[in-house]
Amino acid sequence: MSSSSRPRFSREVCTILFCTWCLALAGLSPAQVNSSPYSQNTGSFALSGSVVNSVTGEPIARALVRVYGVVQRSAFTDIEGHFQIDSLPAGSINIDLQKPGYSNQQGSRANRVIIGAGTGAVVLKLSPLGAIYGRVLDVAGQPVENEPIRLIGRSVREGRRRWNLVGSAESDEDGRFRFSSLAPGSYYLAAGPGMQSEMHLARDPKSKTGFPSLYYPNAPDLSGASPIQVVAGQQSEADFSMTAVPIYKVSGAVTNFEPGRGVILQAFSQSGDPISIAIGMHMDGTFEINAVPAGTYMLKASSHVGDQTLRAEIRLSVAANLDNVSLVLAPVPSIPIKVRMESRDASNLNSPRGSQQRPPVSVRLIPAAILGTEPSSSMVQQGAGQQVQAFHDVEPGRYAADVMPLSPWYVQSAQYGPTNLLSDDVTIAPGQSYPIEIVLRDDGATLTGNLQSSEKSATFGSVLVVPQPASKRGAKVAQFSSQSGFRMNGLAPGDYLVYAFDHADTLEYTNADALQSYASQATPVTLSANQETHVVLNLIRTGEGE
Amino acid sequence: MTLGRVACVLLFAAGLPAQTQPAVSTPATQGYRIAGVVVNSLTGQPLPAVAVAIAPTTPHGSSREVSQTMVSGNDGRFAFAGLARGKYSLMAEARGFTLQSFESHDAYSSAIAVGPNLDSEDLVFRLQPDASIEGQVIDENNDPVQNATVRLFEKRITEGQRRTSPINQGQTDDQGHYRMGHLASGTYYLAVSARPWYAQNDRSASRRPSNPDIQAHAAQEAAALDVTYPLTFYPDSEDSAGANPIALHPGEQATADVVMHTVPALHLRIHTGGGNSGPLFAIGKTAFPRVSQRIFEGYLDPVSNSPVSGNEPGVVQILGLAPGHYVVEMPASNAAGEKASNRGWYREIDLFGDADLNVGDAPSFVAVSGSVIFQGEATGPKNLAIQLSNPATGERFNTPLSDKGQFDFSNDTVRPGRYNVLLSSPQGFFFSKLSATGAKLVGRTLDIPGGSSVRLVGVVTRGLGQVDGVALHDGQPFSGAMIVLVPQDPASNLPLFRRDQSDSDGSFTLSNVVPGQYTVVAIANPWDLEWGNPIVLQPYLKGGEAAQVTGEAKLQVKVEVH
Repeated sequence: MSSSSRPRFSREVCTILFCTWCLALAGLSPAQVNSSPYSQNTGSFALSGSVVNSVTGEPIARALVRVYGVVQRSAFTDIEGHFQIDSLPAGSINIDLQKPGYSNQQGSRANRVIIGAGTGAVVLKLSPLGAIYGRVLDVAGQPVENEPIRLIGRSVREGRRRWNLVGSAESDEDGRFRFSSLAPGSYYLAAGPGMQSEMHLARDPKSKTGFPSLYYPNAPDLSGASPIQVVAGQQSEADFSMTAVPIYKVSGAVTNFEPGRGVILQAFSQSGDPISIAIGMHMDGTFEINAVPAGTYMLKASSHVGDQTLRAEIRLSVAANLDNVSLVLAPVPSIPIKVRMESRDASNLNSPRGSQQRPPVSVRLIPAAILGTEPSSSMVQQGAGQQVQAFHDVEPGRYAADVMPLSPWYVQSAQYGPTNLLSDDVTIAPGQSYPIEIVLRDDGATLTGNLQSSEKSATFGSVLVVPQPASKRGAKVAQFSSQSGFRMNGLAPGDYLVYAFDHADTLEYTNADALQSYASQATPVTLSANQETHVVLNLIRTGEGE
Repeated sequence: MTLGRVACVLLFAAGLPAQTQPAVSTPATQGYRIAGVVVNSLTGQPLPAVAVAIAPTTPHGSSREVSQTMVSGNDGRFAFAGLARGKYSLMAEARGFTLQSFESHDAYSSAIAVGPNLDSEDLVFRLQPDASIEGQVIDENNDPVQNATVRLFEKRITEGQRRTSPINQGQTDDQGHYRMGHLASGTYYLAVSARPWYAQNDRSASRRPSNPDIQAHAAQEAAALDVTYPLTFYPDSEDSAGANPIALHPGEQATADVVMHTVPALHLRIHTGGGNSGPLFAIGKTAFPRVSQRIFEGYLDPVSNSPVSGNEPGVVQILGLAPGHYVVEMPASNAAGEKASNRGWYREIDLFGDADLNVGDAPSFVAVSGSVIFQGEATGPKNLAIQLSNPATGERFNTPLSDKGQFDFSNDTVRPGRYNVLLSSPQGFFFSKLSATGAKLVGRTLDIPGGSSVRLVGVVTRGLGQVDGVALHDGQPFSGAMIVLVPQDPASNLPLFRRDQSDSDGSFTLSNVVPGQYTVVAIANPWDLEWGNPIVLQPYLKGGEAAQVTGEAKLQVKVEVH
């Protein structure tokens, strides 16, 4: 079973496959194709066409068209969006398109053309990106300068939708900010916390003011925020009206760390995204934050003793000066991973691919909360074949577990205490620790398949094998080509729905709702241990990448 | 008064005829007042809602914190009462008016002297409105240039000479727009550095077909995208000599658009020498070349849009350079355990095609080192530093002076040229004797020739002096004059100059003065004067006051303002 994270072949493999294919057809085509692909160096064919905006249909001038195949060429479109590339040899080529303000179309399957006598003009599409811009004003309508603005967007990777910080900026002296080159989708905007920074002289030194952390349009936390929709080729406006609040001082100490070891102290909004606020820390663990606008925040501290991580966190509601804020660091318990391998053939339990000491499985814990419990997008991972099997540094929070065995093993069960990791998210609470217990078996099923013969055009795509009933257990993904189909080994016996997509990059396939609309085009199959089953699939066109 | 510094209070009563003073009505028991009106310096209109603040200046060289703040009324008036005798710095700030001090010029301003017989209640505080420059950077096809670095230079008097120096920079957004605000009036230039979005400067990145004909085509293809933009000066010049100045007035919102033109990119291959085995960027080795261009009057501007590639062993490639004249420097690599005998090297080259540079025949940086003895003391303080500054290129090199008196500029990229030598953060010390071998030292100016090592030897003595005084015009105290302490042989002793601005009572202080013979000059409206240029200074010297400054003593002078 091959399950790669980004389902596409490398360019070289595509080229070789296509060259082989077109050589096979050479005998049928009247074009002169010599047996060696490199002997026809300049070729006598031309490729012409135009590049248009996929939303408006309007031509795009000065777009860069690059052609890859036996030879590499490039050209810019003219003012009417037309281009022409001459001296191409017959054969198949890939076309890349690029222009700032449009999403990069590199390696897109839609842009493959066969060069030959009958090649007509092509129409290539570029999807325009969008932008979000706005102004930060105070309640008096005056612009707020130097206010930090954060853009939170989501991306789908490996079938999972995750939110992360995609941009940050500061409002200029007119209060304006702008985020450009944004893929269409939903975004959240957050502003602050910040000071009325252009005023060094406070109106009254005793009551300096600042602005709290605010999520567009006007919510103190993310749950009350409204997402902003970015539509291809359009600019969305989002203005903030900030109410000045008093500023307070917060001080305290981080304790229970090894003297001489560094302590990291960071501040977050109450929704868990990192904010920039000046924290003064001393060697003895005491700290002060001199300018905290009134509001609710999270402080997180971490340090190390040996290779053990210590953590502490506290939620603060700041409505007055706060002294003696205490963060007591405590070790994060390790989560051991216990793997049991079951096989009818005892010799399989100790092979180069894996053994009881070095199980052929890797585990990932992916933060499930809207912005992750980690400031940066990160996943905690234990690799396959590693001797030490435990997670050492998992922040408390909610995670989705991704258990990935090496073929031919499949996961029969994976538990964390009472939680079934194959169907549910897991909550890691401070101080509590179970082991992760995994049972692997090697009597899995093999699934092979290909597309319906009615699918004529040569194509590639992704096969999705989703266990039924729908659960969080990972769908398995593999490439297929209309020529050779696909093959997956080491599947757990059971019921599945099998989908064949032309593009699955942006599909949130770990979410059963996202797959709902395609279910009627999927093929159900039941797999048995040690059996090979073959299916014939419909190609599902998702309409993406066109 | 110097911002952040202070003068000791010195009232010079003899020269002030009391009957011409307006009545000062505050009785001594209630304290004194500072009052006046804040106006827009451009329109003369009074400004309401301006934050105004005062901070007492202490006798020990630093101002205390703001002691009183208030907001000007609708008529622009402000008043602070109950003040003790002394001097106060006066500041104001409002939306559209950056924080400014009273009558400020450069780092100097006039403090308000408060006390009996002093007028501090009819002040007119002229606030300069902020100006801004914004515009768009486009390419020759009228497409916006994203992520271009726009650098702002100002032509102003720096260290007594009129020079064009960088003061700010910004980046263009996806529409090619940039904006720089909170600017004071002055003469500005813009320099834009960018790479075309479609540039592919690393030709080695494309696959190499085996067939030579295809290779030729591929090379042609690669060349079409191996382009760059030269450093471009507003509006459209690749040479700083052709840059148009932007004369910015107070409150003006200027627009300056720049057009970038594509040129074929050149590659510079630097052969770092086969002697060093191992990769160039190994851990512990930080050998990154620095490529700069000379712009304006000789300022060395680092090139920022050229990627560096280190794929081949022994060769560092600088890609994407536009044709022109460059200074290439390779600082000494600080590999652990490696002695500083590998001093690094530099070359000045004219690049009009791809070129190769061999390290072997490039001159090394100059090794400057030295030792001093501390007069009367076995060891000196621990945190003194020596500075070599080159006003023409804008380079400044600092190196610590050990408490045994040793120093070595081994980590610095010192090229031949003319440098000023001084103690940075002197803490009361100065060079009482200084001599050099390997270079010509006149006064505090060091002329370093090529291919040498320079040794400086001297004596460092404790005891800087101070000059306090009053600037007068027709017998009346003159506020806001520039006071310049001019050393003998001014052309060779720039580090010995001291400056101040006279306060509201005409008083001034020149501190940290190296003992010696000087002339004190007071100039009214001098703020565009090249005071460091001896020819410019000559006519004022005649009307100045001679001053013999000795260590740790305070000299008092009165100077006539011209």
